[in-house]
Amino acid sequence: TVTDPGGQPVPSINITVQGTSNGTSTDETGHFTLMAKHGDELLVSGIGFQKQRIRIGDETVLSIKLVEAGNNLNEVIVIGYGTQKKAEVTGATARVSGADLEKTHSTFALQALQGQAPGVQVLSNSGQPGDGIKIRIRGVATNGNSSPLFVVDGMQIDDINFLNPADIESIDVLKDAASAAIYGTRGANGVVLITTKRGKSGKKILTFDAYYGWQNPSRKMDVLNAKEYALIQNESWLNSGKPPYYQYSQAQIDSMGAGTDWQKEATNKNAAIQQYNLGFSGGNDLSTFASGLSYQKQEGVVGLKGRSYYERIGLRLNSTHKLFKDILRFGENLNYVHSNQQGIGTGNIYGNSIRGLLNTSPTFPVYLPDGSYAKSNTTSEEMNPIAAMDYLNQRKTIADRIVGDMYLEATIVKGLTFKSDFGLDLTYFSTNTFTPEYDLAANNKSATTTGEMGLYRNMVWNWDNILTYQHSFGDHKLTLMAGATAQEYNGFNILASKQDLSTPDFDHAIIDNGVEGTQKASGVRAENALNGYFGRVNYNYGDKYLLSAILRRDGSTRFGTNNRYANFPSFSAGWVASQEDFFPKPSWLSYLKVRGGWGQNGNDRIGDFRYLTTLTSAYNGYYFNGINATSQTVGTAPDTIPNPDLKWEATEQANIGFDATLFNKLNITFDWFNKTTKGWLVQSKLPDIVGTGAPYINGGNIVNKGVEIGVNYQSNFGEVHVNIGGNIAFLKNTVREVPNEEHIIHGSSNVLSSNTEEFYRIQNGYQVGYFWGYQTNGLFQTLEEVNSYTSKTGRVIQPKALAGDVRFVDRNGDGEITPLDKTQIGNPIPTHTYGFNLSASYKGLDVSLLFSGVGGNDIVDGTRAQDKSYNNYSTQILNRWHGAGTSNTIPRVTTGSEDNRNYNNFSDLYVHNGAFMRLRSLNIGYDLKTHLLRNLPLQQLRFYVNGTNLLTFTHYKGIDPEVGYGAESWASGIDLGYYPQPRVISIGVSAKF
Amino acid sequence: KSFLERTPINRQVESDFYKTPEDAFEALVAAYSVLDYDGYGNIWLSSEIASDECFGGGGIADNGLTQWDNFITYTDHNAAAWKKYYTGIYRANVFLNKIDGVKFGDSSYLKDKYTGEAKFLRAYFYFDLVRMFGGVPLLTKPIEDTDFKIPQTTADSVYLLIAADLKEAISLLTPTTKKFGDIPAGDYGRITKWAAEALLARVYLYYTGYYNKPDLMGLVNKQDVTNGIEDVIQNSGHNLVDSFPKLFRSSAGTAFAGQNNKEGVFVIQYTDKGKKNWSQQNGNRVQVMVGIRNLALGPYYQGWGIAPVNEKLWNAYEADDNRKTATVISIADEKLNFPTATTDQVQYTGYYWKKFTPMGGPERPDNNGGDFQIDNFDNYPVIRYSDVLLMGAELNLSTNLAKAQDYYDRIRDRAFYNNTSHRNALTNDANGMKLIMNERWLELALEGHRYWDLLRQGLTVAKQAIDNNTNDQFKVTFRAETKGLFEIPQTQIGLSNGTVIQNTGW
Repeated sequence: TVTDPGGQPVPSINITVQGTSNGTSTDETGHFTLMAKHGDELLVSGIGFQKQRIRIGDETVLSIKLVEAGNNLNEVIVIGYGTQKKAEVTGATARVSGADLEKTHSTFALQALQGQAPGVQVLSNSGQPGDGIKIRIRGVATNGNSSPLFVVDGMQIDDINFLNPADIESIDVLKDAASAAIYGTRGANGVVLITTKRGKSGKKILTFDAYYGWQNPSRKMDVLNAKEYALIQNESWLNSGKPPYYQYSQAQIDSMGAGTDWQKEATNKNAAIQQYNLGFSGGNDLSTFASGLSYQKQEGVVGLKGRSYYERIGLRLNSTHKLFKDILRFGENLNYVHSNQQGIGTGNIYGNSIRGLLNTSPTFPVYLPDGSYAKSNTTSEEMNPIAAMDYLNQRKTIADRIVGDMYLEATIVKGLTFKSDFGLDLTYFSTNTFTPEYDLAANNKSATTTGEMGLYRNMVWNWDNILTYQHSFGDHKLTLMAGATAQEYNGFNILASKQDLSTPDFDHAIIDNGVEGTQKASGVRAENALNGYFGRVNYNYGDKYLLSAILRRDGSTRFGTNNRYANFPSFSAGWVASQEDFFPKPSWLSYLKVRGGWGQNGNDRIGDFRYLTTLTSAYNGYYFNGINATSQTVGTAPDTIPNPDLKWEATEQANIGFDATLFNKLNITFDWFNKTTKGWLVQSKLPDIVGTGAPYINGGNIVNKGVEIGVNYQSNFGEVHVNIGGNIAFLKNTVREVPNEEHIIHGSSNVLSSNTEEFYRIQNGYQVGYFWGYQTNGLFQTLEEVNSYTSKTGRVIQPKALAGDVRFVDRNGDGEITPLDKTQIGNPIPTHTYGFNLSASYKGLDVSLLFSGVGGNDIVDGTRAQDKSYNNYSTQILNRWHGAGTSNTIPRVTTGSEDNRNYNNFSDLYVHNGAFMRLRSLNIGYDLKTHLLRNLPLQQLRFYVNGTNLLTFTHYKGIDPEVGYGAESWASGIDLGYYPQPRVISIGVSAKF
Repeated sequence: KSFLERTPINRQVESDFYKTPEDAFEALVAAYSVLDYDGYGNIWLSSEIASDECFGGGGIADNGLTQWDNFITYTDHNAAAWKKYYTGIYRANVFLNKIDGVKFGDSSYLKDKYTGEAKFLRAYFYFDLVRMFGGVPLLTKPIEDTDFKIPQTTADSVYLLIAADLKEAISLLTPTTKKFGDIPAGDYGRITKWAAEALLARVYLYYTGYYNKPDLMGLVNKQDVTNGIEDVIQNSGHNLVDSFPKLFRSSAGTAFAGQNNKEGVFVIQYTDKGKKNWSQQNGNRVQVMVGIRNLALGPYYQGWGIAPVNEKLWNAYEADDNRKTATVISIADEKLNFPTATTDQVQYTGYYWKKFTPMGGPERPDNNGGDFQIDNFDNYPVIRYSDVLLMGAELNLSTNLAKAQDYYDRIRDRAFYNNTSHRNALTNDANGMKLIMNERWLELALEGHRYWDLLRQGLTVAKQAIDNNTNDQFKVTFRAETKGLFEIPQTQIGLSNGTVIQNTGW
C-alpha cells in the first residue's frame, strides 16, 4: 500500500524495479502488485512526491509512506468536468479552502473570497446584507457583464448568494483561458468552481457551529451640524448675490444647537449577525453522505430597527453510493435555501437612503412632539430622510432556491469511465411592496396606498455526459475526456398591484385588499438554450512534461444561423524542472514547475434575439379621446435594428507562470497574463436619426495585462505552527478599440445629481470607465488673478469667475473652458489588489488575521448632491475659500448659480485617491479538547472571538472606500452615498463529535 | 426544429407582422404615440421659452432652461427633441414602407385613410424639426444598411416633402373625413382632412414668411391654402366655443367645454392612465414643468416653475379681455400666498401659465393613482379653430378684406363677451397685418406659436420683441446670427462623424 503523509491511500504512483522495465502503478486504494526479487531496488515516484528508493528485503507486503515534494501539491483541484492534482495543473488556478472562507464569518461566499486569491477582486454595490456583490477575475474585460461563471458541484449558475460559506469544502478559480476554455462560451470572465462538503467513508462526524455578533458601521461621514450649516448657507446666499443673513438671522443661528445627526438617527446600533450550522457526515465502503442544516441572519447596520436584514435557512444533502461493486456509482448534491430580505434604498441617486442621510439639512428633528415625522423647515423640496426610509422601503423579498444535481458514473473497462450528470437550478422569488400614503416633500408624495406582489420563477437545467479515459504505460500517462452538454433557461415573472388598500399597512399589502379597477399587471417570459461539445487531452511524461489541450464547440440561441456555433481551443504545457535528474537534490528549491498556456473563451451574455428585428407594443400606444378613453389603442413598432451576423465575443488569453517550493516550506506561485477581449457585444451608439434601438454589434477590444504573485509559508517552531500567506495582483486595463465613429462609449449623464454631465466613459487608450473631466489648478484668490489668467492671445479664459472660484485648465489653449478641455482625471480600476494572512496555533490556541486592500484607483465623491444648494456638506467645507489665501482647493460656497460652474463642471475636485487596506478579519480561538479537556467525548470544542473590518487605512474621507458602485456594469468607484461595510465583533463555538 | 432554433416569446418578429389591416393600424398608432413624448423635448415648451412670452425659470440648478431663454449654447441641448422627432419619422416611414405588403381586401379605404394619417404625421414631425433646426437629415424610409451618416439637406428639400405629404394626406383623407359633430368620441385625436388643410396653411405661412418666398416649393400657393382654410371654416363642423375661458380647465371651472371640444382641429391626446409609470409617455409632461413651483396654491396644483410668464404678456391684454385671466395666473392679482417664490425658483416673475397649469382637486393625477409629474392629462390643441380663423383673416387680408374682417372680429368679439366696441378695423396693409399678428399673440399665447409667428415676420421683428434690455436675471438677447434656429445636439453631431453641421451662431 502506498499512502500519503496523512495515511490516505494514493493512486497512480509509479513503482518500477530499478534497471528493468518491470513496473506498475497503484490503484484507487493505493494498492499495487509487482514481482520483484530480494535485493531489488524499487523506484517509487509520483507527481508531487519526492522520489523514493526502497531495497526489497524478505517482506511480501510493503507499506510505503510518501513524502510530499512541496506543500499542497497533492491537493486535488477541480478543473471543470474533472479533477487534477495540483502538481499536474498547467493552467492558472487558485484554490481557497472552506476553512479559510469560514474564518471571515461572512454571510456570503463571495465576500469571503476577498483578499484570498490573487487576481480575484470583490466589489460591492453596497454593504447592505443581501445586496449585490460583484466579482472580477483579472479585470474588466468587457463593456457587458464581467461576472465569472459559477459552477457549484458541476451545476453552472450565475450567482452563488444562496450558498452558506460553511457548506463549502473549497473554491477553485480558473483564471486563464487554458483552464476556462472547457467552459467555452461561458468562461471568458473566469470560472469559479465550488465544491460543497462531502462525507468520507469510515468516519461519522457531527459538527455544530454557532456564532453571534454585534455589527456597527465601520465609519461615519462628518457633516455639518445645524449651526455650521446655517452659517454656510448664509454665506452661500451672500456669495450668490443675496443680502447677509438671507436665510437665517443671527438670532436663529444663535438658538441652534447641533441639530439632527441623521446618520446617527438611522444607525441600527449593535445590529445582530448570527449563524448556526449543524452538519452530519460519514459513510462506509458503499455510501458516503454529508448533510447540513443552517440558519443565518444578518441585520443591516443602517435602517429602521427590524427593517433591514437578510435571513437564510439552508438544507444540504450530498451523498455517493456504489451501486455495483466499483463499476457503477451514483450520487447527488442537493441544496435548498429559503431566504428573506428587506432593506433600505441603495444604488443610484434616486431613493438612495444613505445619500438622504448625508444631504439633509440638520436643522429639523426626526419627529414632531406628537410622534409623527417632522418636515423640513429648510425648503418644501427636502425630505425627512428617516421618514423616506420608512415610507419608501416597505418591500420584502422571499426566495426559495433549489440547486442540485444527480449523477451516474460507470467504469466501463479499467481506465474508462462514463458520467452522466443532470443538474437543476430552480429559483422562485416573490416580492411584496407596500406604498403608504405619504407627503415627504413638494415633489415626493403619494395620495394613494398601493400593494404590489411579484413572482419570479427561473429555472435552468443542465445535462452533461462525459467520457474519461485514463491510461498509463511506462512513464506516459494520458487522460482523455470528451463530453457533451445541453442547457436550457426558462423564466417568467408576474408583477401586479392594486391601490387604495382596505387595511393600509405592510402586512396587508395584498392585491385582493385593493380597489377593483386600480389594478396593474405585467408579466414576461424568456428562454434560451446552449449546446456544447468538448474534449480535453492531458498528457504527462514522467511527471516532468505536462501537456493539456482543450477544444470546445458551443452553440447558443442568442445568435442567428450565420454565427450560431463557435469553437474555443486552448493549449497549455508544464515542465516540472525539479523532477529532472540533473536537478540537484536535496536543494533549497524543493519543487519547480514552469507553466504556459494560451486559449480562447467566448461570452454570449447579451439579451436574447438581438440578431432579429423584434417588435414591441410596450409603451407604444395612444389614447384616442384622451382622458375619456376607455382603453389604450395598441401601437407596435420595431424596437431595434437587426444584426443577423451577430456573433460571440471572444477573449484570448496567454498565461505564463511557475509554481515553486523553497525549503519545503515556502510556496510561490507566479503568473503573467495578457488577456484580450475582442469583438465585444455592444449596442452601437447610432445617431438618433435612426429612430429606433441601435443594433448589437461585435467590435471593440480591451486588453488586461497583469502579474499575480501568491506566497505561502508554513512551518512549525516546536509546538507553534505558523502559516503566513500573501498575494498581490497587478493589473493594467486598456481599451484598444471602440467600434463607433467617436471611439467612445459614453457614460450616463445625471449620475451624480440631476443635470450633471457624463464623467466616465470607455474610450480608446484608456481604462474602462475612466473618469473624464476638467483639470483644475487651484482657486482664484483675487479678481486680479482672474483677469491675469489669459491665453497666449491675451484672452481672459474665465471672464465670469470671481475670487474663490476654481481655475480650470485650458488644455487646448483656445482661451476658453469648453468640453474640449476635458481629459482623464482618474481611474476607478485598482492597479493592484492584495491580501495577506497570518495564522498561528499553539496547542489549543489559534490566532489568524486577514488583510486585504487595493491601490492605484480613484473614487469619485458624489455624496453631496450639488444641484440642491440647501443640501448639507461634509465638514471639509469648513476649510473652504472665504477670502484671499484661505483655501486653494475648496472653492467658495454658492447656491450653485455661479457662472464659473465650480461644481457643475465635473473636475478633479470630485476625484479622490481610493486606495485602502483593511483588516478583514481577526480570529482568536481556543480548542478545549486539545489540552484542557482531553477526556471529553468529542473531537473538538473550540470557542472563538472574531472581528471583521476592525481597521481601515485610507485617505478617502467618505463613509467607506470599498465603493463598488457604477451606474453601468462596467463603471465603478462612484460614491453616491455608500451603505458601509459593517464592523463586526462576534463570538462563537465549534464542536465536532 | 433543433434545440437551438427558437423564436421570441415576448416579442413579435418583423417577418410575421405587417400582414393585416390590424397590424397596419398598430404600426400607425406607434407613430401617433410619439406625439405624446416629453417635456424637455417638446417644441411647444422650448419655443415658448425662446419667445417673449416666457423666461427659463425652474430651480437653481436646472440647466438648459435659461440657455433656451437667452440663446446660449448648452451641452447636448435639444437632444430629446431631436430624438423624439426622428423616432416619430422612423415609425411613419416603417408604416409607409410596409403598407403595400398589407392585405386590405375589401377595406382598401382603410389603406388610404391610414396612409393619409401617416403622411400627416411625418409632415408634422418634419415641420417641427425644420422650424427648430433648419435643414436636417431627410429620411423617407427606414435606414436599413449600415451607413448611418446622413448629411443635412436644405430646408427647402424638407419643405418639399412636408408639402407633398400634406397634399397627399388631404386627398387620401377626403373620402373618410367626417364633420366634427359626426366623429365618434373614440376617434377624437385622429387626423382628419381638416387638420391636414390647416397644417398646410400653417406650413405655407411659416415658410413663405420666414424664408420670404412667394409659394411653398412650387407645390402649394396662396390660393391653395386659402381654399383649404375656407374649407375648414365652412365645412369642418368645427367652430368657436362660445366663451374663451371655457376652453381650459384652469379657467373654465365647471363650464369646461371638454378636452375634445368643437374648437380643436388637431388635438394631441393625453391621459393619466400611465399611473406613475415613467416608461409610459401618454401624460402631458409639459404641464408639471410650467406649474407653480413646488406648492399647490388655490385651485392649482404644484409644478416646477419652468417658463415663468413675462409680465409683458399680462400687460398686453386689455383689462376686460377675458383671455387675460384665462391665459395667465398673476400670483398677486389672484391673491395667492406664495412664501417660497423667490428662494426656490429662478427668474420668478409673479406670473405663471394659466392655460395648462396642473390643476388640484379630486381630478389631480396623484389622487387617482398617478404621479403629478408625469400623469397630467390636459390635451394640447395643436390647431384650434380660432387659429384657423386668424389664418383665414391673414390669407384673405389682401384679397377679401370683408372676409378677413369677419374672421378677425369673431375672435375679438368672443374675447370681450361679444362687446363689439373692442373691434378694430383691419386695413389691407402692414397695419392690418400687425393687428392680426397681435391678435394671434393674445389668442394663442402659451400654445407654442408665438416664437414662430415672430420669426416669420422677420428676424428684426423677432429681435425687437424678444430682447429684454434689463440688467438683471431677466436680460435676454436674441442672436440674429442664429436666424432663430436652435442648437443641434452636440452628441448627434459627434455620432454623425461630422456629416451633420452645427447651425450658424452655435
